[in-house]
Amino acid sequence: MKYPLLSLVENSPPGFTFKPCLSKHDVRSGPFALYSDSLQTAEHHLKEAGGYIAGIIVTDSDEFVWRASGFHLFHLGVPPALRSHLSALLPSFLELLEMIQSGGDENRNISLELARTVEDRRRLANDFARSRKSLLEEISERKKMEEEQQVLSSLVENSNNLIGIAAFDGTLVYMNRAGKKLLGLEDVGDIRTLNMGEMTFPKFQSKLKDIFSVLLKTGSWKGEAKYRNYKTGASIPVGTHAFVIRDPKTDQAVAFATISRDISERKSMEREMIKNQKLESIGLLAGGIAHDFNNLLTGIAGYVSLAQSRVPPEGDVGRHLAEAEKTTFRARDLTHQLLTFSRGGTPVKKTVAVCDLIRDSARLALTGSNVRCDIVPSPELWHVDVDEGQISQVMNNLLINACQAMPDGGVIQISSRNVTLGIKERLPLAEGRYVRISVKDQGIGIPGEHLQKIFDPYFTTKQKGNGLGLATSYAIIKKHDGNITVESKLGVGATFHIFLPASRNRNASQAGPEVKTEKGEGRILVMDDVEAIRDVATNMLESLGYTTADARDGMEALELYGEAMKTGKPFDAVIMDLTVPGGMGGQETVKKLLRIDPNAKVIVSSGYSNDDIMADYMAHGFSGVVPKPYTLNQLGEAVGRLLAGFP
Amino acid sequence: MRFKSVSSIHADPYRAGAEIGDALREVVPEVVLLFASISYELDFTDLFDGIRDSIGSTETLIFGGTGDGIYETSRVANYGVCALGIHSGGKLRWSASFENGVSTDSYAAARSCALKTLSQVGGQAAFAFVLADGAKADGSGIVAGVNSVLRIPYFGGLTGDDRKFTRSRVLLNGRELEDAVAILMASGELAHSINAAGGWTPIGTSGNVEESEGNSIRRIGGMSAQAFMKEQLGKPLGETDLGIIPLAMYKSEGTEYFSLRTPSHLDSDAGAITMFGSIDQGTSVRVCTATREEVIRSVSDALEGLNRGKPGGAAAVVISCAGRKWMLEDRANEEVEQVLATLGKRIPLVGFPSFGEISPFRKPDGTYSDTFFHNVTFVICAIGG
Repeated sequence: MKYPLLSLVENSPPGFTFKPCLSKHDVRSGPFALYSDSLQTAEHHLKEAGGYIAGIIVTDSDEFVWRASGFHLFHLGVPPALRSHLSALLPSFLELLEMIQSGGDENRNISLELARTVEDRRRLANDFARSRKSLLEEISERKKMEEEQQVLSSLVENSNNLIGIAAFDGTLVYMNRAGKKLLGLEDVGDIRTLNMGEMTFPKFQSKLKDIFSVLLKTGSWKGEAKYRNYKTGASIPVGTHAFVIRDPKTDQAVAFATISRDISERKSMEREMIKNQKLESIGLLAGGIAHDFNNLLTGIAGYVSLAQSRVPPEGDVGRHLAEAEKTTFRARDLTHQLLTFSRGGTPVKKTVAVCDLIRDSARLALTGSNVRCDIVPSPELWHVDVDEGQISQVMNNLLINACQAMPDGGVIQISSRNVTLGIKERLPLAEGRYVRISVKDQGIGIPGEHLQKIFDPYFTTKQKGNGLGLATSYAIIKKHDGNITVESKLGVGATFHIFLPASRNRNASQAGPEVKTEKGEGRILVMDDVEAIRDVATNMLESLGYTTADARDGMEALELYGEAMKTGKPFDAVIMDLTVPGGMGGQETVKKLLRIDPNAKVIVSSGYSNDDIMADYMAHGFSGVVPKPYTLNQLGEAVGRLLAGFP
Repeated sequence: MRFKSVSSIHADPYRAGAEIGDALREVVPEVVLLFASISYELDFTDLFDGIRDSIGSTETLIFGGTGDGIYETSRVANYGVCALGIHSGGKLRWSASFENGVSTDSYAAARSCALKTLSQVGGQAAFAFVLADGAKADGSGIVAGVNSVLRIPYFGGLTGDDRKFTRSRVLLNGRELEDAVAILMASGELAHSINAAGGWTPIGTSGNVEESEGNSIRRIGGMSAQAFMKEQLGKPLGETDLGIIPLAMYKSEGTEYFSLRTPSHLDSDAGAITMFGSIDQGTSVRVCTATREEVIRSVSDALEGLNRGKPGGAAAVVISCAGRKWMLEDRANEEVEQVLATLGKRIPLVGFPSFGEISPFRKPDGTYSDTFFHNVTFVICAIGG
């Protein structure tokens, strides 16, 4: 029987099987009917069978009863009269119950499937939300990276340094704007068609190979290199830092990058610095030689002067001695130039007439050249307060440059005029009165790009020039509170304009009241480290009637002076050399001397005529000055003026 | 030998068991391979009772486990129970045993279980079927443990639940076992062939597993495991990917052969991934993908290799990864349909969607490779014939 009809009581309806105990198999195999004497008894037995049962509990009842007793459990109460029909009646009910139970199973499975679908949807929704969030984060990150990349790209592209990337076979991958400009690649369409080798010189190729191997080994290389401008072929010295670019995933070197800076200017400055150091050394040497030479000249000039004083000036000997004296002073001028070059110097100014200055300078500079000099007369020119030697040097430089600009000859025109400058004029000069001296040549002219540089130290276009002439001239004019400018046209010539402040003095400096070189009397102490100068100076003074003593250095001078004071035979004047190598020089000695004798009269003498002390001797305690070399007259004049009470 | 398969979707486990037992009674089964959905979890006792009451014997060895559904000749379902009754006419000596503690040491538990079961069949096993708790076991450890004992090709899988990855049961003779491994062995002559196939293709770049502990993989290729997979897939791993997106695990450098491992849990704090089987540190891995078509086509590859063009068999046991079923969705039936189309529409077939598969590969010369632990793989054992 498909659906078991079971009974808990022996006296069961027909078709029912008595089962005092119910097994799972009895009640869990499918829908069943269970006859019991009471509903409670049946429910009690079924409880032990567990869940999932579907059945009909049948009990006797006075009237027909049908109601639910559990999930798929029903209670059928039948009147006794229907007991015999139960076995026929129940299968259809049980079949229905089976359908319900199957439906329940199906529903259960459907519920499970539905729950699963909901779970799957939830899982999908969560993952979608996560993926979406991740995607948005990635997009934001990417945007941020793109922005950063743009900033970096802009930095790289606009950097003043060359920034480039090349593959290890040298093929260019990228070059920034500065790099293209430096290497002459601006007109190249696709730089990736080029190789780094084309941007280097053949001599550098083997060094390039060494650099690559260092790069691969260590990852970077720093040093100096030489690029070749692709367009012009010019050599470009660069300071370079090259480094390897690696694939972030594999760490393999895939290319190399280089950051290079044009060091032409630095190289040039290094060369200039070396040149400068050399020149400084030469200057020091020249200065030293000039100083010693000047001392020698002092001796020569002094003895010539002494000799002149003993012979008639109109005789042959007198004339020869006069020429010897001139030559000596020309030699002195030369040493002054050297000293000026080596030490610079504050101008020792006096009021001079410009036209005289121009005339003398032109004669000196152009003697023997194939260049003619036209000096345009300028009446009523104001005087100027200048250091004649220095301004002569300036004129000399300009005239020599003009000559050299006209190797086949020509005319140099020198003109001068008074100018009054106001605030309208675009010159770096204070308002006021100036004398403008113009030197114009007919040479090849100066290229426009050089005009700004010609007054720079060491700038020269001449093969053998040292680039100091115009720089020194500029410095001299500036020290005179003036200015020097230039204008030029290529193929036509150049004109230099010198502006010098006009003097308030209407008259050129005259020598002070003339003090004849008469014999004098008095006791003079000469201090100089050079014996020849002590000799000639004391001889010259003695020839003038003075009594003399001499000292090698300041210390000895102080001793002699002090002793003289004690013995009641004081010196009337002292002539001191300014520079005493290895000993006390004039500057220190005069201070100590003035402590001993505040009324001491001291004349300072030096070959550095434009030394600050010489230029402003009174401020340093001296009473007079006589530059070396000096003649008998000059020495006598200086001593005479001092003893006479004149400055 | 006699085989019969049956399935039931009765909600009542006893009734389901009774239906199973009723159907199998005719073959007088010595062994019943039983696979049920985890939905019967509370009432496996009733299920066993139903089977035994209906078969009418307590001698029948019942061996099986839970999975995310059932495969049977007549149905593929998410919920229900299926069984294969096997009668050898006394030609086979059957034995089954189990060992607990797979969560602590899967290798030791599996090895101990294999030794025990082997000894029960007199040390000569012709057939072996291994099941372990998929929620707790390290599949790699299970296979390593059994490999250390058995020298024959064998198959099996990890039991599972309904995609929650929280619990599963190994079923053995009326017991529902948790944290256990169980092995069914037979000695005697039992013709059978086994094969496996996946259909997955490695993509992207490989990474070395730099940090792992047990089933937990922490760092791959210089980053967290999750970050590595995100980088390879282009999207973060999600719940829907668990059990589906595998890592190809290369046994040795430079080899083309790989096993697959799928994730079961994501540790969002540390970026680690718990896999269904362990991956040793230093192993090279690559993310794999496959289309539904490639996954389904791999069934043909597995069938092709069963008996090199002559599959044969009187019954079939299919253990196909639950991940494949989730990926195939409405086409999940097609795996079994292909088997039936090849082996015969009426062939007694049972199986379940597992959380890991155990199988060797059938080589072209008919011999077998070593037995490996797989994920997202289709395993078939054709028995008898």
